[in-house]
Amino acid sequence: MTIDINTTATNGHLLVYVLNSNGGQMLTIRDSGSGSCMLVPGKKYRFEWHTWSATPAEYAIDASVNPSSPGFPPLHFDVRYATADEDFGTFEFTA
Amino acid sequence: MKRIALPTFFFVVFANISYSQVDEAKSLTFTPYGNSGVSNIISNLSLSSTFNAGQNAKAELKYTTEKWETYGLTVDQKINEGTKKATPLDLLNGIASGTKIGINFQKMYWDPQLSLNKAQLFDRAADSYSSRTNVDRGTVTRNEILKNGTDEEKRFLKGFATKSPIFFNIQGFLEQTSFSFSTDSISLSEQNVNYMTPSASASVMFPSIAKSSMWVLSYSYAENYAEGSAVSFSSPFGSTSNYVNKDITFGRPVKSYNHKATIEYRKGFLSNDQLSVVINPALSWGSVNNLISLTLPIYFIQAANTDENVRGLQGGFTVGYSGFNTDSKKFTSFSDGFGAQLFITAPFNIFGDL
Repeated sequence: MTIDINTTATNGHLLVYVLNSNGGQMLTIRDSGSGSCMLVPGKKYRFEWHTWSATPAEYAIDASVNPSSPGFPPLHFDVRYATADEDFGTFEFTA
Repeated sequence: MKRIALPTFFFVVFANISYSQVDEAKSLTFTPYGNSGVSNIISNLSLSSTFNAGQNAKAELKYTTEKWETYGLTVDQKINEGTKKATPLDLLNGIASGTKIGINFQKMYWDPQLSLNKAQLFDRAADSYSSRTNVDRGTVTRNEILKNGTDEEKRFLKGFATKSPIFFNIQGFLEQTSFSFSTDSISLSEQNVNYMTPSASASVMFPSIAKSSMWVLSYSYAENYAEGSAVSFSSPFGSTSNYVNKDITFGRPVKSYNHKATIEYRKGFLSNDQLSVVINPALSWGSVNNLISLTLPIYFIQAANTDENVRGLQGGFTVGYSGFNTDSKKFTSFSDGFGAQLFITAPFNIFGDL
């Protein structure tokens, strides 16, 4: 089982982590990029993202678990900031 | 080649309380165009010595890696009024006089991962927000909760400082400058020499979006050649009654070094979600005069706004005191060390080119 992530950052910086239950970084994606990592069924993980920009910026995150799992429904996330801004979000999941 | 388009309204007004007393030391330390060697819209302009002579032609090539490392190559050439093109590099003669070639390296360090405790606090706020508003839990953001959350949801995020990136910047430049002078007071024969002078700077920047502020520590080193004052000669033109005037500088240019260390703070104050005032205090030390100087530019004049985009603040008032002599361990008298200027320049950007 894998989690596949695609990100786009326009005029700003985006950081996406996939963390294990101890907070260890299993996958890190910066700005516009893509990556994937193996997940063990039944284990807990954390999905966490941060944005930072000194100017107006736009970000997009697409993430899915393959094969699909009800513990992680496909994530499509678009966000736009009209001014310099910083933000984050995080949630725990079990694939 | 990209030419910097200077605003047509660009000018500087000196409302100096004692302008006649502004000496070389002040001119080296008081500049309304920025206090440090940070690569940004202010210090990049370096117009303090060129706005009377003309403009600069500048080309910049940047390459950014996935690890937030930026490599830059810059060519900057002074051009005179009316000049149609710039030729910074001649394949036969090398770098043209008045040309500055630089390399730049910038590294952004940013690891904002939340601690487990903070992540769990966010979970409690976001779970509540998501179930109350039916927003997909995976897309709930910190800003959304702070804007539309209940007091209880916001309370979970109280004191939740985010980690801003830190920027490290190193720049190096080579500049070609030509001089004409004479060492023979009898024949008045002129010599022309070109000097290649290096300069370098390093800086660390700590921006804070939440506080609309930035701390900057910087150090710069520069080599310069200073020429003496020109002497004006008038000599008869042939057998006519006309005279020819010529200005000749005697003696070779003298080489000098300048080390400068600066700590700078930029802080913006908002009114109706727009910058209304920016302060930019800086404390600097320069080796040329061994003076510690304090400057305080205050930007409050709004930039001309020809479209819907806010262009920021472009002018204000600056005061400075220069200062404490680290050699003699004495303070300069207020009348000799104080300077004040009213200025209008390019729109100020707290975060520069970050």
